[in-house]
Amino acid sequence: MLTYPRDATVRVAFVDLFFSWPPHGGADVDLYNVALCLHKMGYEVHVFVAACEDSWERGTVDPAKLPFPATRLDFTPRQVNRIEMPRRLRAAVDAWKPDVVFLCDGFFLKPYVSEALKHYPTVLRYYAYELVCPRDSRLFLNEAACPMNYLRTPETCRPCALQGMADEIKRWRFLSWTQEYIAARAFMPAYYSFLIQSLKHSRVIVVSNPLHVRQLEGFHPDVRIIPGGVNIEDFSYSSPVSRGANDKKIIFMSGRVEDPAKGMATLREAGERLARERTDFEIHVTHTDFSINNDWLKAIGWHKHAEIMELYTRSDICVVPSIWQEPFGLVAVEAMASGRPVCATRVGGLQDIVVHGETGFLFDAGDSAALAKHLSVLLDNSDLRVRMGEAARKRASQEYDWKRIAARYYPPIIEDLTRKASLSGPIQNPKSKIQNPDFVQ
Amino acid sequence: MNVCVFYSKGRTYLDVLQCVRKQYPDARPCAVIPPGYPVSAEERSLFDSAIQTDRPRYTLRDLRPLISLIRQIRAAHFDAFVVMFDSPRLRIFSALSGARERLFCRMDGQLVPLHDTIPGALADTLIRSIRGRLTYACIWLIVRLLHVPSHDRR
Repeated sequence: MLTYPRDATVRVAFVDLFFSWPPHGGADVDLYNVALCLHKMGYEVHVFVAACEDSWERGTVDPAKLPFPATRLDFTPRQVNRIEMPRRLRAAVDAWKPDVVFLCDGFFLKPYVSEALKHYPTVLRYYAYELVCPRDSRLFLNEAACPMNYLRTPETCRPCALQGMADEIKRWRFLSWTQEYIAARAFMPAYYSFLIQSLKHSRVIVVSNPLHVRQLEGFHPDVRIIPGGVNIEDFSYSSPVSRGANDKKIIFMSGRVEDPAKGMATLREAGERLARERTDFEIHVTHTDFSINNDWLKAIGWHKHAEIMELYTRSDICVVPSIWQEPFGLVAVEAMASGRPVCATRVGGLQDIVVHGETGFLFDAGDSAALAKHLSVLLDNSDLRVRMGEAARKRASQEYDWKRIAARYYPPIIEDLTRKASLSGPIQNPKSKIQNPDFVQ
Repeated sequence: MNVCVFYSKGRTYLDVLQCVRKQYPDARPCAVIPPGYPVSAEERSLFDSAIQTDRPRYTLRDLRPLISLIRQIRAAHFDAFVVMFDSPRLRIFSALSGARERLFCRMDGQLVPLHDTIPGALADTLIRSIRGRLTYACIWLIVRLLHVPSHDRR
């Protein structure tokens, strides 16, 4: 067994092609919290971020304002390509000499960066289905979950991907997904082989749910699941607002509800069913088409994250009716952290988050009758709402608090990789980790 | 100073109103918002007046109401016209507003000038369209004619 000097720390580099703070999405929140927790636990952490002035999606962050060391590498739009970006990221990472590299958010250029960093023990982190769905990383087609897998059916997925990006390419005005598709020449047959090779270079692949693990079977021997999380102290728990028998209870759906994959149509149908029998509810959705409003459905527009947290506490029930295979389901965890029962579909990561009959209810995607039934039960029983809300809060706190997630999942990976690296040859920084035992209560 | 802040969906309006307030503390912002837009108390404190549009969004089929909206905006004689995104449509629309200063609010909270004239925006759209269609045709041919070698597949 190897022993390490106790006075040294492991250097962990996070490389991200999109990281922005304030965050633009769940991947940013994930990286920020993991890096911060590991930093507090005593690891030496450094985040390397690619930024491009012409792209609001890529690297809108001031490293000096982050609570951990970070370097932002600025690229011009022309430099966002498969040669320049990996080269400069490699030079920056080499200068810092990490023991382990986590390659985080990135799309079609990610395999090139992985190739450039293959001399380090590398962990590839996938937040959505980027590996298996080159159309838009969602595995969602014709308003249903798509059964294809780019790794197994490249000749079906290549034309589909191009079709999905056709409008943006024809207008020559695209977001980062399409920009990387062009920059990485991901339409070429050789890209597929390169992608498969890049997976082999990595030591561990991290995904968010079991479906993704099954999709990667046969492509990598070590695929692990790490869920996302919340900072539980950011969510103030208060009992649901006490309402009279005739007062309207608020059913809340948050997130990108305009996206058909999020299943608002199911909630609307369930609302129609409920409205035939009762008037004691209102459904609030973060929709920006205010013409959908009626007696029981209210579009409340987009809100900042802090406001959304407030909206959870003002609601009575939260609904996550997604019909795509949600990689994780952060909205459900946030609602649970606010102490609200959650009705969610039995898809992707959601089915692991919500415990049916304990912290809320699960129903099949698109089954509005089942959703209406569950909502009816919750609307009728305030004690059940409180009981489920408390159980939800407890589960969010025990299973999905960032501190616990970082402490439970990341040190074993880092330890495995540093041990293997030192066994296979001299590592650049023979170090060990110092964990701050007080960090995780 | 009269500043018009034109709402578009896709990001939070409050952010943009706050940027405008920060950059023009003495301005009298006017919000252009779609019908039914639920103005929050915080948003309400950041603008002085509001114009409500006839429809949630305009297409070429809604030419008449669109012209009517442009007339209404031009009649207000705004000194600055702020949009939430930099797109050809919003460039043309802001050029039609008649405002001296035309700006868009970047995601990092900076107000950046939109320099395009209407012919400039139209020419840019045309050039992009030609380049894009040619690229698409090339990629389409590659995807249809060149295949992943079967020995590479799993």
